[in-house]
Amino acid sequence: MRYLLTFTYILTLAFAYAPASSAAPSGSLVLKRMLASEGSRAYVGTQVTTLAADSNVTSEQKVARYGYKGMRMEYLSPQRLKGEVIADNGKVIMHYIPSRKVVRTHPSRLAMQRQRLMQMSRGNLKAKLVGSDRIAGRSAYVIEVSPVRSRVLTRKFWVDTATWVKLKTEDIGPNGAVISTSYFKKIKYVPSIPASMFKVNPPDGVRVKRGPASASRLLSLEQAQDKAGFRVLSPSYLPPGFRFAGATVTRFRGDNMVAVRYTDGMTSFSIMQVPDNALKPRFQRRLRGGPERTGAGYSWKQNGISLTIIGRIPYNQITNIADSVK
Amino acid sequence: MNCKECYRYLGEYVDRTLDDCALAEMEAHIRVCPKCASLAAELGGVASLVKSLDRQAAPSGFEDRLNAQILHRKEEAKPGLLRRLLLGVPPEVYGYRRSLGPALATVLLTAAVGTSLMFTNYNASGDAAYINAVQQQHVTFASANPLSDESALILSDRMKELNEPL
Ligand SMILES: [Zn+2]
Repeated sequence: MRYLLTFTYILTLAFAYAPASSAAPSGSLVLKRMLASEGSRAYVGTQVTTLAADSNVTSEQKVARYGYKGMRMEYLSPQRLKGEVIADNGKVIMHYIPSRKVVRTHPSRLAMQRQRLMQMSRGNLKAKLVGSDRIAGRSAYVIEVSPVRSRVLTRKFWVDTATWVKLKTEDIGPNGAVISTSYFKKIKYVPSIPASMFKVNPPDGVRVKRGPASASRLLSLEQAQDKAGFRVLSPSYLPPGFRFAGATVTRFRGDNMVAVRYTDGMTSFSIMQVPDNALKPRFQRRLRGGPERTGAGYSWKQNGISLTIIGRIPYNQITNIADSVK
Repeated sequence: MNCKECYRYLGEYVDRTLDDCALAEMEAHIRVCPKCASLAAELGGVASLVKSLDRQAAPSGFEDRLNAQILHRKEEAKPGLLRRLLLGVPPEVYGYRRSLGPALATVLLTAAVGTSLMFTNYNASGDAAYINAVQQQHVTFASANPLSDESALILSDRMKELNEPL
């Protein structure tokens, strides 16, 4: 940590004393260029991801990305994930899990990013250029982006000065600790990548398990209420800087599952709601005994509805939100 | 085969799902075309492991026996830590290990999980498919934000699923 601070300090100094003529871009310009590059650049690389806060797990994956046209990721490590492939062709994600001989399908994230399904409230974010660095042998601007009002998360990006591709991302929690880091060990830009790379061709005997077909449109609370068939609940308390982002209604075991989403522009959480009887009896019984923390979230029941809050926000905030749901 | 055809079949080539005839044509082209050769080499690294791993991952039919014994109780199989702990244990002693497994898994997880921002406790949910649906829905939404660290979100999601004991 002290090393990091010193490092940041030196970077900041280096930047402060750079000649005025070097025309360093502003943090918000770097952010803007970075977002624009998401839709166009083609590259292949090896990426390392570390989740410090969750479990100290580190993964290494090969990544191929071609703008919004496609993304492919294949895990090299840890051993438990080795060989898993996630391919997004801009319409659907195919996630191949060799150990279970299954391909799961999910709505395309690239499609949602292209449609800007989750609107970033740009006025809500501040971006600051904090220095420069080298990642995977390339020179990078370092910017720090955080919501203006919320204190849940600060995110640092290392952005390629020539291509504006994000080479490294670091999430920093409210106490200054690094939560997660992803960076490219190696990256190579290519003119394009064939579409056939963005689907999985699984071996014989692999079962395809289909999820929802396409990204659902975000609805207002009123629209979600009309579709749900039960009274949709919402919290009266939100952590500072968070606001309603939209709701979705999908099917789960023949019932409607409503997800009400909130964001501060960086972090988000969802309140999932489904009629009680859609859940397995064992889980229903457990919820009768009070709220439960599961591997996925914080669950409880209220008004014949089972609710789960899920998102990377501090636990005390989650319980505050849950207590305010009506 | 020309460059355009070569490009079109690159995905199947790196996944090693081309039939022998097309593969031979492709390799012939790659030998004489440095442009396609370099792209194939770059992309090949991304996908080269899929085929070989598929064989390694399901070693001796053990997983099938395991599936037959216990996983029929769940529509959404959870390989997770518990099954990894049990992997390699002959089916006949499995009944014994099954009672030991959850306790052991909990101890290991408590040691490994550390200071999670949000969850320090991975309870068995009693409804894995529900938990999985909730997780998937949220991750899909969260990573629709172009500022999100998609790799971290996906990894966190996968680890949670794997760590959720039976
Ligand atoms: Zn060629």
